[in-house]
Amino acid sequence: MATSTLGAAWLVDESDKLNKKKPKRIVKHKKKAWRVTSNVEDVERFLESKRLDERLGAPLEDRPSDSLFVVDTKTEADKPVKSEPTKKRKIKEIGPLRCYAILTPNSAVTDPLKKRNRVRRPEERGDPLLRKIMEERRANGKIPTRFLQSMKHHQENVEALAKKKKPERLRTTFDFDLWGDAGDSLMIGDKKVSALDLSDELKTYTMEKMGKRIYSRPPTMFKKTTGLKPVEYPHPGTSYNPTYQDHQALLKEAYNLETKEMKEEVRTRRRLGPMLKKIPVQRKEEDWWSEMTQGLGDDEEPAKEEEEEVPCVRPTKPKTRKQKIRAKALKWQDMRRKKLKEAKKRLLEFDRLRSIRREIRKSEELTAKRIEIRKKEKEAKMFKPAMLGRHKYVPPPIEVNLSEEITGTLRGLKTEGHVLIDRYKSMQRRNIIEPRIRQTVVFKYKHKVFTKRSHSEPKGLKVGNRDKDKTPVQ
Amino acid sequence: MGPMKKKYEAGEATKYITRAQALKKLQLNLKDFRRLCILKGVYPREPNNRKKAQKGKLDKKTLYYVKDIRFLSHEPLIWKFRDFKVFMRKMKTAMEKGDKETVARLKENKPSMKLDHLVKERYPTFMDALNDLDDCLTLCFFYSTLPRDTKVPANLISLCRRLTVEFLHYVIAAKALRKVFISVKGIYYQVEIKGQPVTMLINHQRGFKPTSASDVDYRIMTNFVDFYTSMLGFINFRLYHSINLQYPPKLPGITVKEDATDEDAVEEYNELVAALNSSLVTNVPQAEEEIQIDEFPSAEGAEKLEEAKREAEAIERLKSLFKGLKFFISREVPRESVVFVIRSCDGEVSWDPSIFAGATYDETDESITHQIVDRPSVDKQYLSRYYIQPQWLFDCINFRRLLPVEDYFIGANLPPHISPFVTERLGDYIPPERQMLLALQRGETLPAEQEEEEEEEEDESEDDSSDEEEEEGKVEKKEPTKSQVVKEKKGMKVMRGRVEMPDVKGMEEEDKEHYKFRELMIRNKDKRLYRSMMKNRRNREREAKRLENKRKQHEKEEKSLKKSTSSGKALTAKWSIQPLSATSDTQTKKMKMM
Repeated sequence: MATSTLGAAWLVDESDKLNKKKPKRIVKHKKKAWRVTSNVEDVERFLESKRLDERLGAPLEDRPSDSLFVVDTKTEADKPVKSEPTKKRKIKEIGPLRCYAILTPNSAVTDPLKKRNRVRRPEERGDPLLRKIMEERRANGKIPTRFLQSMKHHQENVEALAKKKKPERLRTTFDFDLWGDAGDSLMIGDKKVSALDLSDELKTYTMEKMGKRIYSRPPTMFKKTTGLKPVEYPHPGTSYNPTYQDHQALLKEAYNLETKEMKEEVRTRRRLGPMLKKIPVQRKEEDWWSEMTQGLGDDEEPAKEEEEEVPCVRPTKPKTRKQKIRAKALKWQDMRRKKLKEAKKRLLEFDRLRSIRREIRKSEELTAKRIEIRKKEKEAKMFKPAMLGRHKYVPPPIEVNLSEEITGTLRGLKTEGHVLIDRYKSMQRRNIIEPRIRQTVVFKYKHKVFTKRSHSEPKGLKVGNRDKDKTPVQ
Repeated sequence: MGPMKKKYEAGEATKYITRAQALKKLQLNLKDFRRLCILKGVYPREPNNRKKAQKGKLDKKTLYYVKDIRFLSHEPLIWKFRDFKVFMRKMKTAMEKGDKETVARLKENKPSMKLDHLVKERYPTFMDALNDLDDCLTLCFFYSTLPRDTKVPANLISLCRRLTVEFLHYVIAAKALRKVFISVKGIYYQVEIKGQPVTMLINHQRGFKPTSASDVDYRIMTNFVDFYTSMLGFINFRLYHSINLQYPPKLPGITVKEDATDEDAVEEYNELVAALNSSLVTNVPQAEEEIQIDEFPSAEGAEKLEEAKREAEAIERLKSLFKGLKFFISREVPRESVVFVIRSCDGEVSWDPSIFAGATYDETDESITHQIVDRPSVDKQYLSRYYIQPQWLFDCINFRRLLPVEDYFIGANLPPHISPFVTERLGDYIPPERQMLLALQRGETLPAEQEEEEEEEEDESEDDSSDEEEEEGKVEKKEPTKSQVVKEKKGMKVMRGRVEMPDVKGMEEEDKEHYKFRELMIRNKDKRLYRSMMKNRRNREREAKRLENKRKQHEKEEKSLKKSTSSGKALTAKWSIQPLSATSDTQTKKMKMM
């Protein structure tokens, strides 16, 4: 079929002509042909209209006019004048959109399968006979008491809900003296008890009788975690219009801190520099290979050597009875000798009573000294941030205006630092919260790799290869 | 001997619990646990021996006392947390379903927490609460300035604003302000409540400076503020009642119904309260009585008693420092801090009604004595008032007396603003400005200072009579009576016994000798410490002397400069860094580069 496009067009034309020439042959005496030859359009139309009527109900002509029209007896003035409809109301007025009409169940056709298992409506449920009796009773005005009861309860509930008090005191209203008489009482169960009256006996009593215990705060919680002040006094150099000396002192402090940091940075760079070398990919692979294959090739040989070197150990001979007795005697002798030595030493110590006293005094002095040192250390610790977690406390940078930033007026003041950060750091410094680095969750999705179809070589059987595949089978 | 004890079943190891264990025990998530800890005041602890406390594990963990966590487990708030979790779950489902009715019903019954019992539990007495007020105030003041669109709940911000304004009203009414310091970070105020100094830091009224998440955790700080608002509310209540004020604060003359639904009216009223410009309604008018210091007959405490008396007098003076003065604030001056400072020293103040509600008089009022201005020049000036820069107010409070206004005139080169919080050790260098401040605080009067002040007083008396003058007069009157005793006439027969002048020189020498003997008496044990102490003191003195000389030199140079150049240039010369030595010069240069 290796013809040009023009040639193909010619061919198509010819085939069309050939098709037209062939007339369809119809056998007229068979029932099958009736459908083709006879025109039943009018019948179809009638049936279709009837089906539509079935679906939508009776045709308009047949319906009583009461169901179609309403006699408007009210005057126009009686109707309330609607204010400008909002967007929502407009949609409500228009009703559901036409495009959704098809989704609504509007068929009037009854289910042809009467036995189909479906969910019964509430009025269909239950015994029809019983239902009938109940309906009759209701018509007579006899309503079962439980219905009445439930109606009453419902009404009561609704009323109670309406009456229900809001939480008696909002958190934003402060209307009593917490440290006064009112604040000194506690609620135990539903009784108000003055905190002063709460002796230990009462505590135990309430615990036994009411199953509720009053837990007191552990005394360690009242101890201060730090000796630092909550709001530290500012350095005089941080004044917006400082004296020359104060400002220079603060500037020098900040400078020292900065140089220290820079020095540290230089040091780390120098130390880490050689580690952060650029390594070409090829060498990296080689390194990886050499690392991974380390000890694989030459592991077996030395193992053999070791086996050879292991000396054979002769099993130990059990001690004879004579040997055992001798060993025991020796042990006893040794013990006796030691005891004697000790007694002798103790006797001798009577002579050096004075020196012993000196020793005792010295050791006591040492302990006293140690106690003092520890006490001092503990006190000093109160002024330092403790190690409360994984991260160390990092002091905030010193806030200082540079010399050219000082204008000397309140209007031209350049602010430094942030009060909230200052508070946050201060709390960390005072061991109230642990310093931490904010953890943020980073979702790393796996990369899915596709190859574009146009780029990939087609897989599967090639037409040209079909023959080749088949040949060996033959 | 009983059975052998296992490792880590006694001692340090049983005292601590790790955070993860605590979470498991309390069945809370980390967020709720942190919140609970902050509310209850449970802090992580550092063990003495970390290896033992962590049962042999070496990585550093956050540890808590077991007893603290056990105490936490009895807290009824935990149940509230759980209720809230369930509530949130229900809300979420209803929201997703679009069930508005359920959402409304759930919102109606939202579980709420009260923290009153925690305040009482953490601070059993009122004094305990006052001890911890510094933190509370600083944080609440900061939160009150936050913009509404931050992650912080808006009602918390407005509550903070309300409570802090109430506190400022208390300080104004009680005249409790003692020290002020304007730093680059914010303004430090020291307030004395029931004899306790409370320091607070309030940020400058500038735009909101956002922070990055790595700098500070807003969620944690919000928890703190949540607790502090409850605490501050109760403290305010008690403080107001202690000075016979109605709480919540009420302005005289203006009545807004408590249950008024009109939000605008309520907001307007709140703004008037926040203006800080009118004193509040008192419960019962009470006659003020002067507090007199009890005198105890003690030999060695006489000097101290004298000092205390002088201090009390100075504070009394501070309380009515601006009495009779009428201020007007220009638009560029930070209104709130200036009004607070003036009002807490009994001054009258007003401002342009376009900046804030609550202005009482106009700029055109002739009886205004001082106008506070912070710009280089003003077009229209009234002759009857001083135009001064705001620093004058703050310095006056720190010096505890009215300073000469000349140094603070509009466009003048301001004297340095010195920190009132510095305490010097013996032998430290004290700059002359600070020396003057200390002397004035002590109640002494410097000769040069007094003259200027008298001048000032005369000026003031033209405008309106001030109480200061009377005080000055009293001081002057006392002095001549003393001198009269010495200048008695000699013509009488019975000569009055002459006062034998004590041999000052001899006494001093004797003192010195005594001192030397006492030095000799020092035990060998303490001798080294004493020596090092004295050495340090000598070093400090030397350094102070060096700085003093330098200062003198510097002032001399400045004087010569002033003569040669205009005053505008002098300002820049004052603040340009002058090298301490060759090295310091390079240092400052580096600082600039950084």
